[in-house]
This record gives sequence, structure tokens and C-alpha cells, in this order.
Amino acid sequence: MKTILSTRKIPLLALTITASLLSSGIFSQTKALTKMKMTNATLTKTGKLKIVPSKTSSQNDFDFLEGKWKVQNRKLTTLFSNSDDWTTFESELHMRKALRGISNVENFYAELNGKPYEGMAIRLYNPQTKLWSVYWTDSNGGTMDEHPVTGSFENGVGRLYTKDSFNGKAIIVLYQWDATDPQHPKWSQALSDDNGKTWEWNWEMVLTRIA
Amino acid sequence: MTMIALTASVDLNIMPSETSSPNDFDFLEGKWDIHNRKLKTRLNNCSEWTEFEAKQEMRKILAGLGNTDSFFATFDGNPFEGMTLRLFNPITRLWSIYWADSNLAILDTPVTGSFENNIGTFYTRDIFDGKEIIVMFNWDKTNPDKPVWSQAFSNDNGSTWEWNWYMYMTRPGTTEENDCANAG
Repeated sequence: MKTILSTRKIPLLALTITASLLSSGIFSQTKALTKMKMTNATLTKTGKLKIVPSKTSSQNDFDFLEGKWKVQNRKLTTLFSNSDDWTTFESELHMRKALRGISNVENFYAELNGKPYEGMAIRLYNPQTKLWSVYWTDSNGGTMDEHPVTGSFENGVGRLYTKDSFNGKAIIVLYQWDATDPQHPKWSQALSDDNGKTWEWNWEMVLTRIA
Repeated sequence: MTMIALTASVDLNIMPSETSSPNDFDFLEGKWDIHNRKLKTRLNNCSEWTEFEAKQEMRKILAGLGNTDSFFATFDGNPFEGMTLRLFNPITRLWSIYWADSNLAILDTPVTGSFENNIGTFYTRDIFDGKEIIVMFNWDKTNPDKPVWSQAFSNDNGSTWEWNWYMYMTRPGTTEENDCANAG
């Protein structure tokens, strides 16, 4: 009964479509499907995801995200169906550091059908493994995902992975944080149903700082 | 390996109380001063307690389906920070309570349960010193101005319990000492 619990889930029908954003060209991914190798992560012969930290991985790698941000979202309407139909909407993201620097908490606010939707991420840095784990929960759920995405940053880009299932199929989930432009960090999510050979990007967030 | 799997397969069957609700932790919202009383060593026939002060702030999140709190204390001269996440599942009507702290960079296994007659009991299986135990969190909000949290471990499948931590909570500025300070 696990269905991509570790991904940001928003009921699609409920999203507010902001037409002006569709042509704004801020989003980098043009096609959903890409060939891409995993970074600092491999699948073992037994199918386990082996994740190692980058050499530079540090508990300060998410510092760029501290504060309040306006977020432009682009989300693929249907997954794994060769769709190129995207929904766009705005949200707000607030991040504060916690646990004396080894953790941070993100609150994510959007509006669905005129009702507030709220999500939350808890990110924890393990000084022993030098890996970040990101846990996600939201106001639809009432439980925390049991399989956090895990990984690290390298050259300003963070890639975090976990195994999950979608419609009964085993998939790999990728969260990617691109912090190379600190004025406009980008988060994107991709899923692979072929053991990490090809990836379908299904959600992109472009951030602009408010405070 | 078989033994462990066998034991682990005995799940705790946790049911919600009839009154369980997403508002059951509302009493805890805001700032608190906490007097902690903590057993020095656990499941060791120890009867020596340490006492220390802490501060806590709780706020609601996820449109009312959860709350988080931050817990600040000093252990052995070092600042310590903890974080609790409580999530109410509207389907099962059970609360799950997760804990992480500045010494432990993972989210701990959640305790799960509900409130009945102002007492909340939450359980999980866990491992302590390599042995299977059951962990219990107890919230007593009989007096909502002075709630008490306590924790107990059982290493005999819940027959006997050793209480190892009490937190006595008061609102800042309501202790006698602070009343004097505020009088001016």
C-alpha cells in the first residue's frame, strides 16, 4: 500500500492554474524524460540502493535555503504516460535551521480549491555518514514517509534518492536541489521505473526570495 | 535470525480511544518551562535521578493535523536541542510521535496512541542495549496549566515498566520565582 509516500503529493485537480506562468520560461526542463546516471548512488546486485556522500558533503549544504521564498511550481499532470502536460501554481516555502545546525525544517504552503494545503520537510544531516535524509509529510496524510530520500551536495547540486513503489511497480525517487544560482534555487523531482537508467521529471520548483 | 524475526513479527495492536481527536494536543501549544527528572541509567535497577531545566515551544502545523515542538536544554554544559513531530492520522485516529535531537541525526521510531480522559498513552517497540523493549510515552493533561510527560520502558513485553523520565511543565512567568521578577 505504499505509493510514492516520499514525494510531494498534491491532488492535481485541486491546483490553481496560473496561466501567465505557463509562458514565463523560468523552468529548465523541457522534456520530462531524460537519460541520466545516478550520482554517488548505485544499485547493488541484490537491488539495494547504495548511497555514498560527496567528498565535500557538509551540514551547511542547505544553508542557502534558509528564510522565506515564493515558489513557482510546474508539475507533470500524469506520471509514466509520456505526458508533456504540465500544471503550474504558486506556493510559499519557509525554512529554518534546527537541532544546532544538523537539521532544518521546511514548511510549504499552497492553496487547493480555496483550502489551505500545508506540507513539511524535515532534513537531518548525519555527521557519521555525511548524508542528508529528507522526510516529507503533508496535510493530506497524517503519517511520515518511512523511506526518506538520502544523499548529498556536489558542486552546488544536491541529489537525494530513495526506493519506493508506484502503482505496484518498484521505482527510484530523485530529489534534486540546484543551488548554483543562490537567487533562484531550483528543486526538481524525477522518478525512474527502469532501475535508474531513464528518469521522468515530474515536478519543478523555482524559488525567489521574500525574506 | 529466526528468533528475532519471530519476536519482531508480534506487532503492538494499538487502538484509538473513542474520543481521540486532532485537537488532543491543543493544550500544549506555545511556550513552556520544563523541570526534568531523569533516571541516570535505564533498566539497570538504578534509583538515582538527575534534574535539569528545559524550555519548549510547540506550534500547530499541517492545517491542524500535526504539531512540532522544539526542546532546548543544557546537558553537561553542552547545549542540546530536540524536536518532536506529532501527526494525527484521520483514518486510524491515532497520533504518531517522532523525535530527533542534536545528538541523534535520525527520526526515531514513532510512538503511537491516543488520549482518553486527559491521559495520552503512546507505545512503540524499540531496541535498548541490544534487547527488545516497549517504549511508553504518557501525557497527563488533567491539569492543562501543568501538564506532565513521562516515559517508561518495559523489557518483559509490557508486564512491568520502569519510569525513566518525567517532565513537569509550567507556563513561563507562572512560577513563584518569575512572579517576583515580573512584579516589578
